[in-house]
Amino acid sequence: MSRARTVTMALALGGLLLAALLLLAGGAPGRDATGAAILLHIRLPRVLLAALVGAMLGLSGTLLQTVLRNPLATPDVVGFGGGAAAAVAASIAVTGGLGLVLPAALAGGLASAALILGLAARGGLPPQALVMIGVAVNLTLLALTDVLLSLAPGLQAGETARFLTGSFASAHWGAVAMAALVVMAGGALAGGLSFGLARMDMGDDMARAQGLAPGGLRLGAAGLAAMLVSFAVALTGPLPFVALLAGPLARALLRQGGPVLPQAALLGALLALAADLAARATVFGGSLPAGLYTALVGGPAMLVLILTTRERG
Amino acid sequence: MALILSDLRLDLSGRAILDGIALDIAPGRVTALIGPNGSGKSTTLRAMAGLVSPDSGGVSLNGTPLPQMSRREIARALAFLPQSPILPEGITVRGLVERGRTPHLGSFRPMTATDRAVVDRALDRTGLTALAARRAATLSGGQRQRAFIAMTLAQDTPVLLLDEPTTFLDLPYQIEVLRLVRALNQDSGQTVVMVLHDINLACRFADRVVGIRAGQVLFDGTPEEVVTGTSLEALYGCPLTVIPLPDGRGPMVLPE
Repeated sequence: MSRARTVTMALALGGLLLAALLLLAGGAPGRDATGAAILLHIRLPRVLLAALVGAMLGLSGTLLQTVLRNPLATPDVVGFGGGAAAAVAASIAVTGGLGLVLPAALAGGLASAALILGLAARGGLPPQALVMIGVAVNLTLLALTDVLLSLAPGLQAGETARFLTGSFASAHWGAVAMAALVVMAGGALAGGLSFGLARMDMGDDMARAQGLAPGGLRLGAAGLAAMLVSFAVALTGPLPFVALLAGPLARALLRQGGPVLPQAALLGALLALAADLAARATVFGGSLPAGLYTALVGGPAMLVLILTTRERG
Repeated sequence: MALILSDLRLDLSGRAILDGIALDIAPGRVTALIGPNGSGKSTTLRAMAGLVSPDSGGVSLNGTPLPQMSRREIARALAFLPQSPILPEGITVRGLVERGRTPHLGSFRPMTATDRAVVDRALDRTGLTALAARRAATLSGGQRQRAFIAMTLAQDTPVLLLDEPTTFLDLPYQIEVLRLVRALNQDSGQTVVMVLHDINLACRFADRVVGIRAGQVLFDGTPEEVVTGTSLEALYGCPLTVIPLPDGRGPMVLPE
């Protein structure tokens, strides 16, 4: 118990520290009206959006990892995020702008999730089948996205490519409010599932023999994960690896299994904030988007995670 | 608790797995299901636990067909331990035994003092109190199986279903586990049904032995009544010698 509390407190403090650093990044704002406006309308919403979207991704990742009993099975890997991204690319191609990003991401994410869950439905959504079908659908969606990018005229292709590398730079209060609602609703729904989710790790037979409904839990958790990742893509574009790393890192810090929802959400927020802090750095006279940093750091971090958990046996 | 299986039939891809299984499980007794690989004995046990839905026929518990009960109601009446249960990562012995309380808990119904007392008692009855804080992964094979049985005890059900509880265990551990099951049955009158591979152990530790072949019940009775050279040859399709033990505690089976 006390370990969980210590870890949670440390993560929350770390998040606050990063948020403070981000508010000050680029120099302390002036004490005049302009400084106040920069702080209130640019920096604060950006920090909050990063934390909230990170929490969404952390939650969605740990939900799917727990329910599929597979640390690699996250919404970006099994095609939920890919569906959202492909639909956004399509909406930019059709409308020529970012106007329909939100409905496109939601519709795309949910449609690909429905397709994958439908294809894997036989026999109560067996986890292996769901992961493999999801990976296949994801690769197809990535290819489709590439087709859209290649066909798009130069300017539009640039806009699509920029969107497909997640960034918090265009944050505004409307997005923050929506993200806060999504995190609250998603967190509450995930909390409702957590009793059953925490007891899925002895296999489906054991879960059913103990009075749970593993198929229903999987459907609920997968649907919720798809919702969360679609909103995240809609709000900021894809941020690779945040959903994948948050859960395993939380479990390693807590030295326990299970969904570890609050800690995974906090770690997701922490990772997103750290990526955005890196995104403020000047590289070759410009700056790189947060999604690029999570992608750059994510792969090696995942390797370290796999190697260290393997050593521990 | 009356557990009745009536004319269970189940076809899987054209093959009859269960071909009219009818059984009346003796309450308060230990029943062993024996038979060759693929005979349908494990499927019969899983049907009893409500994990397999037969094409026709059904299982009833005190007169209520299982499909009319919720999963949770079934889990409060029947505890089931699969053949190779998965050990959750990093779980302690106590944590594992607490899992048995699942059908009695929920999102808004956390563990209470009563639940903890049931868990304590399950640990005590399986001799695991001193090991409660240990990580279950560090236990010996026999201790680990005892911990899983303690988990089913914490489920606090009148019926216990065990699918080959002695697989992968050395002989002393097999005996340890079966002695424990027998003692639990004698202390509390819990009805036990288990699938066993070893006929000698089945005869020694069960009140009733049920022979299943090709999805049908071939024989059903006390070991002395039903375990004979003829019945076993019919069950396994190879000649076997059955010798009555001098202490009168069941027959012993040897290859011809």
